[in-house]
Amino acid sequence: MVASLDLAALLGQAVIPAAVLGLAALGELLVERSGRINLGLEGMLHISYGAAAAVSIATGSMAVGFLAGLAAALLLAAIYFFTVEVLGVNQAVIGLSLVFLGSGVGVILGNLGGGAAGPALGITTARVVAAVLLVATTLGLYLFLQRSWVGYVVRSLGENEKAASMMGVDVRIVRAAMLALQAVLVAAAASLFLYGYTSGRWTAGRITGQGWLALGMVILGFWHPLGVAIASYLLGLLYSVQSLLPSLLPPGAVYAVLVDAAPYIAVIAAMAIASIIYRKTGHRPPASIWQA
Amino acid sequence: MRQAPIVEAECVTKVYPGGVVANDCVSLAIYSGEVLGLLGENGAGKTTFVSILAGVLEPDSGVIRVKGRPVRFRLPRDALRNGIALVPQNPMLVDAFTVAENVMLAARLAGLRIGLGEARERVRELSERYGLLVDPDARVWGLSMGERQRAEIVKALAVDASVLLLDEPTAHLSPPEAEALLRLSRRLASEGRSVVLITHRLREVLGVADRIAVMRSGRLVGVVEASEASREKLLEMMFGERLAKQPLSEPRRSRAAAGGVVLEVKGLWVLGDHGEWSVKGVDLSIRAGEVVGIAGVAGNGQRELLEALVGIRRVARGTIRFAGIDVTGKGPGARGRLGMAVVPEQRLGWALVPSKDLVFNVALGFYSSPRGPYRGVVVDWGGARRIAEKIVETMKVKTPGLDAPVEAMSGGNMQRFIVGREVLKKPRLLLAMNPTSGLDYAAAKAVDKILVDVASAGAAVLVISEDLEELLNVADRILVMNKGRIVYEAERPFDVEKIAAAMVEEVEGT
Amino acid sequence: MKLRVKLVERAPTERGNPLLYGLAGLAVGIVVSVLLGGLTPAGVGGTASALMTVFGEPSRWLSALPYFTAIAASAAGLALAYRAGFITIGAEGQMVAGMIVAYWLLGRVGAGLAAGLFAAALAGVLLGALVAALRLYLLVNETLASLMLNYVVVSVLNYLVGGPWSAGGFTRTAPLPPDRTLGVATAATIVLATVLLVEAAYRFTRLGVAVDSVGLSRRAAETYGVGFHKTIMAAAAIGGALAGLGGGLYLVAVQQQLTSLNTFQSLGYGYMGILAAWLAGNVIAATLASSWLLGLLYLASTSLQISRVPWSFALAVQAIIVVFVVSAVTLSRYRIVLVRESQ
Repeated sequence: MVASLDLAALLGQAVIPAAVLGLAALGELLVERSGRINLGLEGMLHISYGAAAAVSIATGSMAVGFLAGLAAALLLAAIYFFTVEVLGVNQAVIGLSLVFLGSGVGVILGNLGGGAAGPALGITTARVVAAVLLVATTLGLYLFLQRSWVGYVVRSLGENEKAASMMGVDVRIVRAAMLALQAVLVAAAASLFLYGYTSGRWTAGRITGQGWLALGMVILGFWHPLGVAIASYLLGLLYSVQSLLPSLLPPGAVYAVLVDAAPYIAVIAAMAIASIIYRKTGHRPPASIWQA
Repeated sequence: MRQAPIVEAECVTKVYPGGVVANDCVSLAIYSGEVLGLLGENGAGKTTFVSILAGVLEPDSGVIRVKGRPVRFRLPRDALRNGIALVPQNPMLVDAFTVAENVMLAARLAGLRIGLGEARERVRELSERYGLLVDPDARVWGLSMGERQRAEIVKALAVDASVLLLDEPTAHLSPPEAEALLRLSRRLASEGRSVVLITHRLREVLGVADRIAVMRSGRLVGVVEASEASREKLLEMMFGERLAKQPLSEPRRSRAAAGGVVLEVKGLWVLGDHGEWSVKGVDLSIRAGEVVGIAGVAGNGQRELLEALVGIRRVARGTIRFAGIDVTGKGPGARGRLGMAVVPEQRLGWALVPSKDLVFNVALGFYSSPRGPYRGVVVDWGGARRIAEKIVETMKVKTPGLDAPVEAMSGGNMQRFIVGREVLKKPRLLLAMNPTSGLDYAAAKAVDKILVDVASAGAAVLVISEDLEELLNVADRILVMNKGRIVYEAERPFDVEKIAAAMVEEVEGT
Repeated sequence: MKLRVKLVERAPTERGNPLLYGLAGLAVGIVVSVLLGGLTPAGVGGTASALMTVFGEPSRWLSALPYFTAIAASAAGLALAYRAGFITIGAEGQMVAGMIVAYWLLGRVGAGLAAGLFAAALAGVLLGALVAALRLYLLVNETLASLMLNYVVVSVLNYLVGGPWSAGGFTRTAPLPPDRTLGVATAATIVLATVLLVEAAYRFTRLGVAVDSVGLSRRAAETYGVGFHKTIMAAAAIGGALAGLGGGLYLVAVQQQLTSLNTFQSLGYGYMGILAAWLAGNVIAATLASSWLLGLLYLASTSLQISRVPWSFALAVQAIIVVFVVSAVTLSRYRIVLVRESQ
C-alpha cells in the first residue's frame, strides 16, 4: 500500500525536526522548572547555529563545531545568569534582548563561514542520532526531574523559591546549572539542525521560529519531559506533512498562506485548547511561572 | 549545672536598608536541654535575631559560635548542617509536594542520604512518637495552618536538628493546638535538644521556658530565669517606661443602637485556590454603626470570605446584598462606588503598590470611591496629594515624603496610611482583615480605636482577625468561622471560653 | 582569606541617579558593540568610524527619520503594555498588518489617506485585542501568541504580494498613487503627536493609575476596583493602534509599496520597538529619544552594509546596548561591597 509506506516515511521524516524542537524545549523545561523563563531561547539557537556553522566549516569537524555552538550558547546563558540572577534585572527584558543579540550575532558568525558547505550527517545517520538524542534526553530528564532528589531541588525552586531557599537550596547555583544544561541542549539542537537538517550549510534565518515554538512545546507538554517530547514529535510530524499540505487540501489560493503559517497557527490553537483542558482537570503548572 | 552553650551569639548587629536597626549588639547563649523563651513585642527584633542564627539573614557584624567554634552562615543550609533549624512563623513548605517529599528534600539538603521511602517512614515514626498527627503523603496545599506548623517541626526533627528556633509557633494555632505544641517543646528539651520559643505572649513563656530573654527595639534587655520571673517584671522589660502610660486592655465601650442593615450575605459558597470549598453556606448581616468580628484559626475560609465580599473571588452560590443592592455578580469597582472600603490582609502588593509613592497609592485606593480625586476619567493629582497630606497629618504617618515610595516606610506607618486612606473614603462599609498584625502595641491600639470610631460615625465595620483579644476589644458581635462555616455567634458580654471552643471544635464535613 | 563581591540593596531614598548609570551603561555598550564589529568584514575601525559618522554629524541625524517613525510608533505602545505587565511582542505583526490594510484601501480600493491610516490603526487594534483575548480568556501566553501571529501576518503579506497583488511578476505590489503618499517629516510628526497624546493619557487620566497598578500589584489594583481585563485590553488595543498606524505611515511615507518579507528579518521595526521600550525604561515619552537612538544605530549599520556587514549587526548592537543600559540602571539600586571572608 502506498499510503502506509508514505505514513512510515512521514513518521521517519518527523524525527529530525522533532528532535531539534524537543531538545531545545527540554532545555527550556529545566530552566522553567527552576522558576525562570528564558525567552532568549530563540537567540540561543541562532547564535549556536551560526557559531557551529562557522567553526565546523573552518575545521571540518562536527565535534569542534558543536563545541563552538556550545560556547556561544553558554555565553548567552552567562549573560542571562549575571543580569537576572545576580543583578535582578527583569527576566523578560533580558530574554527578549537575548533573542536579538543571539540572532544578530548568529548571523554575523554564520557569515564567517562564507556560505560553504560544512561537514554533515547522512540522512539515515542523522535520523538515528536525532531519535537517540531525543529519547535519551527525554528519559534522562524524566529520571532526573521526577525521580531523583536533585530533581526535587530543581522543582522546589519552581514551586516556591522562598521555601526552597529556607530549606537550604542554593538558588543561584541551581539556576546556573539549569541554564548551563539548557545551553548544552540548545547546542545539541542547533548542531542537529545544522548537520542533520540543512546538510551542514548555514543560511541566515533558516532556524527562525524554532526557539519560539520550543517555548510553546514546554507549555503543551505541561512541563513534563515526556509531554514535551510528545508535543515536539507531533509538531515534527506537522513539519513533515507541511510540504504535502497544498496537494492534500482542495485547490484554493488561501491555503498557500496557511502552509507557511501552519505550525504557528497550530501551536496557538493547541495552547488555547491545552489551557482549557488544564483548567478543567485542575492541573497546575509550576507555581512560580504561572500567571492567570 | 549548665555546661558550655551550644550556640552563642556575640554582639550581633543588623541594620536594614533605610537605617532601621533590627538588632543592636545582641549577645545571647543557648544551652542544650533548655527551652529558652524569647519575648518581645512586634518589631523588637526577635525574628531578625533567629533568622541570623538560622542563616536566613547575614549579620552586619558580630560573631556566632556553635559549640565554641565561630561559624559563618551564608545560607540556611549552613545552619542546618550545624544542627540549627528554624520553624518560621509562616510555614515554608513546597505546596505542590507531599510532606514526605518536603522532608526528604530538607534532609538531603542537610546532608542526610535518605530516599523518599525512608522519609515517609521517618515522618510516620516522628509523628507517632510526638503525637503530631502528620500524614506523610498529604500534599501541603491541602493542609491547615496547624498541620503545616507540625509538618515543619517534623521536618526539623527529621534532619536531627539539635537547636529548634520556633518563631511565634502559636500565632496560627488554636488554644489546644498551642498547648500541645508547648508540651512538645518541653519534651524535646528533656531529650537534650534546645528549643528557642519566640512569642509575645507572656503566659506561654512563663509556662514552659527555663530561661526568658526579652528584647525591645532591637536590643536584648535581659535574660531571667523563669523561676525568678514574674508577669510584672517581664512586662516592664518588654515595654519599659511606656507601660505606666498605657493600660494594657481598654475598658469595654458602650455603643448606641445600630442602624439599618448595610451588608447582607445569604448562603454564601466560595471555592478556594485549589477547587475545594472554602466558604460553606455563610450567612452574615451587618448594620450601620456596628462592628462585627469574625474569629477563627487561620485558614478556615476567612481570606476567601473577605475576597468574595470585596468582589475579587467568584461566588459559587448565595447572594451578597450591599447598601440595598444585589452585588453578587458585581466587581470591586461597583462595590467601591457604593461605599465599600477595604483594609486587606497584607500591606505590600495587596493594599499598596510598593514602589509607587503615597500620592499614587491614594489615587489607586480611591479609584472607585465616589470621593476620589477624579473628574470623570481625568486624575486630579493635586487632589490626590491633598488627600495624602491629610492622611499623613491625621494618622501621624512617618514618611520620607509624599513622593517617596511607600515601601520606604515601616510596617506600622504603612498600616496607618492604609487605614487612614480607607477611613477617609467615609465608607458605608469597612472590611478589615488582621488590621493590626505586625504592629507594635501603641499602633495596634490606635488602629483598633479608629475601627470603632468609624462605626460610631455610622459605618458598618467587619473585622476578620486571628487575634481574638483584638476582637474582644472592638467587636459588638463575634462570629466564629471554622472549616468554612459560621459555627457560633456571640453578643456582648462575650463568653470567651465558648468562642475559643467554637474556633477549634471538629466540624462535620460538607 | 577570601574576598567576595556583594551587592547590597540600597534604601529607596538612597539610590543612585538612574540616568547617570544608564548613560554609563550606554557608553560601555557602544564600546562592546564596536569590539563586536571586529567579527565583521568592517572590522573594529570600520565600525567605529561608521558610528562616529552617524553620531558625529548632526546633518545625518535627520536621515534616521524613517526608522525613528516606525520604531517610535511601536515602542510607545509596547511601553504602555509592558507597564501593565503584558509582555507582547506583537508590534511587528501589527505594523505589517497596518501596511497591508492601508495598501488595500489606498492602492486597490482607492480610499483617502485618512481612511487608509485609520484602517491601519484599526488592524493593529484588532490584532492587539486578539492577543489580549487569548491571554485573558484562554490563558495563552501573550509573548508566544503575539510572536507567532507576527509570523502569520508576514506569511499573509507574502501570499498577497506573491499572488493576487503582485505587480509585473515580482513579489511586490505596484507603487501607491502619488496622491496617496506623505512626506517622511509629516509621518514623523503624526507619530510624535500620537505618542505625546498617549503619554498625556497615561499621565493625566485613569489609564495611568490602572496600567501601573495592574502591572506592579495586580491584587491591589483589583481590590480597589481597577479592572484587570479592561486594563490589559486597553493597553493592548492602544499599543496595537500605534503600531498599526506606524505601519500605515511607513507605507505611505517611506516604502510606498508592499514587498515580500522573510519571517526572520521581517520589517524589523516592531522588534526594535521592543528594545526601544525597555531602553526608555517603559517611560512612554522617553521612547521618542530611545527610538531616535536606535534609529541612528540602524542608520549606521545600513552604511556598514556596503562593506558586507550583515544587517543583523544592527540588531545585535541594539540588544547589547539595552542589556548594558538596563543592567546599569538596575545597578543604581545597589552598593557594591567587598566582603572579606575567613575559611
